[in-house]
Amino acid sequence: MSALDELRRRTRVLALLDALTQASIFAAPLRVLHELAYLANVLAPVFDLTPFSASVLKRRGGPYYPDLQQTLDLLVGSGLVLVSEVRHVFVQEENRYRLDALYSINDELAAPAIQRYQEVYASTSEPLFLAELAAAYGMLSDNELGRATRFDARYSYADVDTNEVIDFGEWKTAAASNFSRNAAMAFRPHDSLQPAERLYMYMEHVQRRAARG
Amino acid sequence: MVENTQDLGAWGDDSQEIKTAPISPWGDVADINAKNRFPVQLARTVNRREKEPTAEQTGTAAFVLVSTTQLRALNTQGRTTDRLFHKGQCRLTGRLHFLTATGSSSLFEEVAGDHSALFARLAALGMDTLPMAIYVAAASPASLSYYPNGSATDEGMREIPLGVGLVEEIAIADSIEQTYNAELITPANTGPYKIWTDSDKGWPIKEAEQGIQQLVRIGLQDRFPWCSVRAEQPGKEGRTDLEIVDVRTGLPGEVTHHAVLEMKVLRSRGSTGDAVAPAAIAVHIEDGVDQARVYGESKNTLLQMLCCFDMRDTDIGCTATFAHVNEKATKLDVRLHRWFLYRSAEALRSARTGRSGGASASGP
Repeated sequence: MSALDELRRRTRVLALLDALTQASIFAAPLRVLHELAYLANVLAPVFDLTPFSASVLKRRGGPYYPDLQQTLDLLVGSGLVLVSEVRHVFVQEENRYRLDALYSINDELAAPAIQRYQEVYASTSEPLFLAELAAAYGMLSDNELGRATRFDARYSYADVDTNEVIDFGEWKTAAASNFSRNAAMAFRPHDSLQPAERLYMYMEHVQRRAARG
Repeated sequence: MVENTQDLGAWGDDSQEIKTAPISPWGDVADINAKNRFPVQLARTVNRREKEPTAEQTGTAAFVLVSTTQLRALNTQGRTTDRLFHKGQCRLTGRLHFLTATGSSSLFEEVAGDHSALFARLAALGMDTLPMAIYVAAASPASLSYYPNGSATDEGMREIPLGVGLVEEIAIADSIEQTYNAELITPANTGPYKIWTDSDKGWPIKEAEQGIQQLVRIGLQDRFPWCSVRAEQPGKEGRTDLEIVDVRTGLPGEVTHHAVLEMKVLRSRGSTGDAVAPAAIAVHIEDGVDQARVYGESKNTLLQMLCCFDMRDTDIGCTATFAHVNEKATKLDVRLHRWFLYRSAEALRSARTGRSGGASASGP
């Protein structure tokens, strides 16, 4: 991996954690962070952005990106991200324990990097996209946070079995495989909605499906 | 037009539900800058709160717009998170709330006392220069006052309408008049956004209409926070410039199309100085009348307006500008408005004192 790729990965993780602040999630459990990363990938095309990664290993316990985790660990090691409440949590869907913790930004060290990210990416809609997505995601109840992908149009579709790779644009075309994007773009076909409205409507539909069980 | 025929995966059975899903009360103002978006979203949350049976009848609350970095720094002992602030289910008053631009959640601290205590607390925190709003709950009428430059100064302070009001021609025109006076009347007022390539020569930029449209939209959104002011809405007959619609206060799924605004920039010259013939300007105005009518009719809009922003060399007045379309506009029920944009502060002064080279007062 090039130094630039590594920098991009670190910036992405900090940007995700920063966006979660919009939802007053100051310290995020792993499930929440990985789930937001997944949603940021499948819903990026709503803002005409390219997904950071267009595939993910399907697991019962929700999305998990080994690369993201590795980067997060490096950020913890370098002090830019703080870790607290390290403990084992039982993952019901996988019937096993997993190591979890709460991750938060250490502004003392990370604030300049976040500010630089906002400046460099100001001409793109990425900071706005992540902020709005996190705000929409943060409207889920405590029970739904970290478990939203069970009701996601792409993740929960039965065409891919658990422990298989979900491809939503890595090899297949996005239009044929990114059902989350398709669903977000299918709301109110006769109205011209803002991209951010589509994110909120997407999460509202996730909630409706969650309520139906 | 959005694609709506593709595979929806696990949501395939929800296809019809998705097509007719209620428009979210969130996200329509996401593209507006934080300082102007903040009071709009706040007014909506306060409205939601006031509909709750447990809504406060007395008391005061303050809301401060902060960055995510500031919010994290404020997340210390003694403050509480209301992640579902947007639902309006928790008490607002007696609290100092810290919000980011999305306005969906709050970090708050309890503050005993009235507005003086809240102002004093903000000053003590060194946050009295940040955009803030103060809400005074009352059986009738409650108020929401917005201080865009912080509580340390009254400069720019304005009342944000709460509840649901009328979306009338006079209020729309008044809102545009305020935007005109604050942002458009002379090149010096246009701030970082320039609508003239060379104001001395009277050359507007090519995209002057889009720039003015966005400024007017922000002003209208501020005046009618319970509505959505939408730009460039597609239809069978073309795209509307601005529409004021209400998707929030009626029954679920109900949309009221209050007004459609067709906007035209009238220019003597193009962005490179090419002269525009008076006959072409007259056609441009008549097109605007037709478009306002057709768009309004197709969307069952309650009000159709043609709003002209006159960037021509000379202000010939509203009567002369609209003489050739007055009858038609009356027949088609299209309301005509015009604002004259001066090339310089000097030209404006001359117009107001009636000196030669000036022009008659602008406005509807």
